[in-house]
Amino acid sequence: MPDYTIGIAERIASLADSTATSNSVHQNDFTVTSQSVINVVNIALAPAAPTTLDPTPQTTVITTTDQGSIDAFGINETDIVVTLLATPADGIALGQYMIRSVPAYWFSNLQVQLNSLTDTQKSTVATLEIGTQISVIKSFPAGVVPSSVTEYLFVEGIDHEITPDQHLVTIYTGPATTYLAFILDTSTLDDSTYGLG
Amino acid sequence: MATTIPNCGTYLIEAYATGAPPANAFKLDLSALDSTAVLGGATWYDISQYIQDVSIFRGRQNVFSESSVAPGRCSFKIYDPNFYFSVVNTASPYYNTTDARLSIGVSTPVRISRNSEYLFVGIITTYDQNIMQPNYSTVNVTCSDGIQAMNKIKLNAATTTQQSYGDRVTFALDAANVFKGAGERNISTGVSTIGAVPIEDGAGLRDYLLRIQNCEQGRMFVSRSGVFTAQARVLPEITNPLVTLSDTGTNIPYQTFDIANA
Repeated sequence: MPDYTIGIAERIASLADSTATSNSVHQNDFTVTSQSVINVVNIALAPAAPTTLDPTPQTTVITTTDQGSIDAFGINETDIVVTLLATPADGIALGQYMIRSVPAYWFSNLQVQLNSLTDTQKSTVATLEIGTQISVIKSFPAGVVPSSVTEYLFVEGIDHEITPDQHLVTIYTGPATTYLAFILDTSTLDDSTYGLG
Repeated sequence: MATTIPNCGTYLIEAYATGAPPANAFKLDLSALDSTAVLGGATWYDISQYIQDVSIFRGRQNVFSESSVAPGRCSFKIYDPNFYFSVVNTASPYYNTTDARLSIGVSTPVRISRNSEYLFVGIITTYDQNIMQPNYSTVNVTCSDGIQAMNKIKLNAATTTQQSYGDRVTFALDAANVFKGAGERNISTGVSTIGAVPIEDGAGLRDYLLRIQNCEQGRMFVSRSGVFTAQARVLPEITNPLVTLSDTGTNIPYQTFDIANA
């Protein structure tokens, strides 16, 4: 039976276990109807093992919302995902982390051909690892504002295509929440792009 | 013999197999102690000279729509005019007379490196031979890293205590007895705290790691050198990019990119 025919209370009741097996109502992923925006995150905390003090532990559901984003883009809500988080505070922190108020755009699928690089650059690109932070600068022709864009990104995926005459590396990225180091006498006060260490 | 690609580097593709005794095999009463002679058994065979095209992919293409706990993959084609890689050739240098079979095939460990830096470490998952008349053979090989095997590993029932993300990942790997060698794990403590929820009997290891990952929203992957890596989710912090790609004539030039969205 499709799970949309049952209410939230029943869905939660059916999720109160600690198995790692995924099924139609017990997802292992936070699937959303729109990838662009997440403004409602539903996180359930799996109950701990029963104890004499708490013989019937209950599932706790935490919902984090961003009303401003809902007003602007409509509701984009995750499934209720039963997590193994310990406390509601952990659930709140995760929910806040997962909120994406506005659509994100970033530079990705960056193709770099090793043949044309210096030896040092070849080594750097060939040994890039997932999780590494990189920056990408794109300059634009006259008439485009701004004339140059710098994005700070995380490497999320790496592809190598090696043939007898070339080695092509494609870097898949994700946007980084990045603050630049605040430098006294140089950085601008009240500029949110700069942070203290 | 390692293969050199002009202006790119020297590439080595190796398979861990048994077979004909190595040239520097240790021979009792003949070889000197403390020499470079090695004992028999499995060894890393350089098969680079038979391979032309290699594809490697690790990680994910879109951080918002793909799971982090996905196996890295690799594929290549073996050009085999001598039938060294054919299961029917008992004279192959990779034929294991003890087991009476070719020692390179499904589950054989493979590693690929450039200038002595690994690009991929994993095992063969498919090994498909194609024979063309009159006498030419190719083998299409696909490989996966250590996460692939986690799909087949089931956990036993276990009680847990409240733990950090990193400690619970370690607990699960220990319970499954995988990535247990020195230096085979690089697990960060993480931000989230995992509750004392018991593990049910028969829970799949990869699914269970995915549930832990859902709590943290960091990354889990096998590194290019074969190390299981679990990274914490990133909080806003001061960071310095390791690499800068640029079209301004300085730094590392790129050819194309897309503007992704999510």
